[in-house]
Amino acid sequence: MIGRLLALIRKEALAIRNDKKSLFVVIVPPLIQVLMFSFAATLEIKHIDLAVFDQDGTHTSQELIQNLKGSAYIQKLVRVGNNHEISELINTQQVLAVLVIPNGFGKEVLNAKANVQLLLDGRRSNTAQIAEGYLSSIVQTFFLSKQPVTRAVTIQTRFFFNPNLSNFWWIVPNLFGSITMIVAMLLTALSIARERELGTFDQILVSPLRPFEILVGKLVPALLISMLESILILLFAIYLFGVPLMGSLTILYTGVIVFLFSISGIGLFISAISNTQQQAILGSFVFLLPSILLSGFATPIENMPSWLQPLTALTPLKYYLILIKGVFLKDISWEIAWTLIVPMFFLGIVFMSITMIFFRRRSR
Amino acid sequence: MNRKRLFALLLKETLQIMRDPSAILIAVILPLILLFLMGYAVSLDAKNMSLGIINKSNTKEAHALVSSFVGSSSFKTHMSYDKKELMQLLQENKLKGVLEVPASFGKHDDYTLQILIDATEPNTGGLIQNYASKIIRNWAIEEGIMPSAGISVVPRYWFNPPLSSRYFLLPGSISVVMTLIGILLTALVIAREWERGTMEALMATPTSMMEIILGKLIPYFILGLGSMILCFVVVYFWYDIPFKGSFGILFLLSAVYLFPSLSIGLLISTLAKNQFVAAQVSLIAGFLPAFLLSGFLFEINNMPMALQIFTYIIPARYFVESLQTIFLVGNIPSIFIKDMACMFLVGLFFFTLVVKKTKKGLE
Repeated sequence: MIGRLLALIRKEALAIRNDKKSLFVVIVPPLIQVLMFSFAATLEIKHIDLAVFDQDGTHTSQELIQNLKGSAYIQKLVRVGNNHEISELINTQQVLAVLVIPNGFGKEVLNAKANVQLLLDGRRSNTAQIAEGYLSSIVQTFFLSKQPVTRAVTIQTRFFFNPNLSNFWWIVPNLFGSITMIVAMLLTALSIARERELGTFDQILVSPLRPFEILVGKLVPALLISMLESILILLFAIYLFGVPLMGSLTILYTGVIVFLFSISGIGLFISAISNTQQQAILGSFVFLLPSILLSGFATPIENMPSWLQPLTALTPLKYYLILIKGVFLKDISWEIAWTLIVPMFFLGIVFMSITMIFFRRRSR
Repeated sequence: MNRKRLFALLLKETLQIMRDPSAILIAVILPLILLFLMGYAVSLDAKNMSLGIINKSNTKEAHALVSSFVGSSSFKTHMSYDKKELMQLLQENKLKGVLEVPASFGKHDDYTLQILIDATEPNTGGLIQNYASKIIRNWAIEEGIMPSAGISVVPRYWFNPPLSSRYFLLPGSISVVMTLIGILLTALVIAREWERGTMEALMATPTSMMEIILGKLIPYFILGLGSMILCFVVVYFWYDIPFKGSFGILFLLSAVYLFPSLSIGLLISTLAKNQFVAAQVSLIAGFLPAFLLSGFLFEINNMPMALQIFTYIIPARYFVESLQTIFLVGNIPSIFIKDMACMFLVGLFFFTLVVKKTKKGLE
């Protein structure tokens, strides 16, 4: 049995090697994606375009505008003179926000009670909310600097695991997870479907190979290629993006193997139920998209409605992202790691078994 | 061009779409899944964040502070006296932050607090800090520690009064769905003809290349517009997202957007001639840019300059901007004309490449 299996694995490996174009699109573009998307996916706001409508025109309001101009967050500051200009600028997205300084502002600041109005473009409500935070803190600081000192509450904030709030430390481990997932998924999802479409699958079926062996033969090469991919991305993460690897490499790679196993299980399942490559590709899409959105990649799972949260337990990516970030940044122990590895392994086994049942029935 | 031949090809392609459940999967089921997830699962506002609290102080002020945290909807609190236990929970990802009230808090006018935040997700970390400071400030004003007078910045969000991320995510989702149909599906079906060798068979017939291409593109053009209408119905009627513009213009925008999308799909399939490669490339060159580089999720302004320049050749960038505008703001001709012109130019660019490549392939 081992001999047969090795022969099949060798055949699969040769098939992959001989198809240079496919091998190229499996290995290289994911690395480019890591490079590009690490820079693109940021929720930090650094370049606010702001307009100011100064109805006050006093020395104090000028001073506030100077403070705003000096801020590192503001990229462009334009002055407007009437309400018509305001709506024109916001409607055409030339500015994100407009600060309206009302008449009498200068006097009010000295009396310790003042108002300003901030109009924001709600089309980009997330950006606008962050910008609101920055702008109001600039206004607050300006206001406090004009007041006599009062008693204050001191809040000492310490950011753990990522003290400088570096965006790379968050996005690169996340991409490490989701991109290896896409690679492993496509490799396995297409494997059986492709042979079926080209008609070579019948030849394998009439050979003495058992269904189990065929599955393993399909699984191993895909697993090896996606492992290779993950090692390349890991090197990128550490040496190019400077993400620290605090935890143990053994835990990380146990996790990688189990994760790739579970994804390949799902990939083979999709492949087994598809008749054509097109069905397999589109089927994996229907799995990949919700997986990424439900995994907590971009938005925390706690934010989702409570009836939706149990559904996230079904995507291996959820556990994997917690595990990778845990190993990279938090140096988690085996005890914690197991609670994440076991569910992934379980999901993999479940999907592999379902695939097996389908496979037996269809290969008869 | 022969109309009869073209109709025959159209009929063949339509039959193929109808008989393969995967085309329906991507044109009907996937948009519904995507809109469902975008509407319910993806929210950029933080709620119910788990926060551990250690209160070592017995003062009245400290108790008041703790109960305002317990009562807040932003946090789900977990009280403890053991800092080690909380730090362990932070490590296990069961807590997002820990608030520590020291024993000296509230005595001799000392109001020093410590907040430890898990910053593995910097955005969430920053939000927790913001929410916590807001609660602390309100408490300080109520207890008379800080003066209630002050400056107030009155924010008003135009076009999105409930300040919900749904308002911009759902209209943007339409561009993702149409990109999938325009680029991925188109690239796949043409690559399939090449891979199976049926493309040569088609070319050997009296049909011209133009007829073959049009015969492929028209059905997917119609499918793309069909799923746009489906998305529109769900977004408008189910999620109650306002639609301020006119439907005719939305239809026109979508039709124009399909030109660059279909051209890119066509180009990919001509270069790849193999479904696996076509799928990978359309994922990387079509779907992911439409998702990440179009301004749909992440602000283009914040990207590095090189990447910002790159976004100019991504047609989804223009479509997303127009979609958000037509839904939330209304008909703003200057935006629509600019976006349509840009989409058309990008489409023309890719279409020229396709024509060049196909001619070469025939020699």
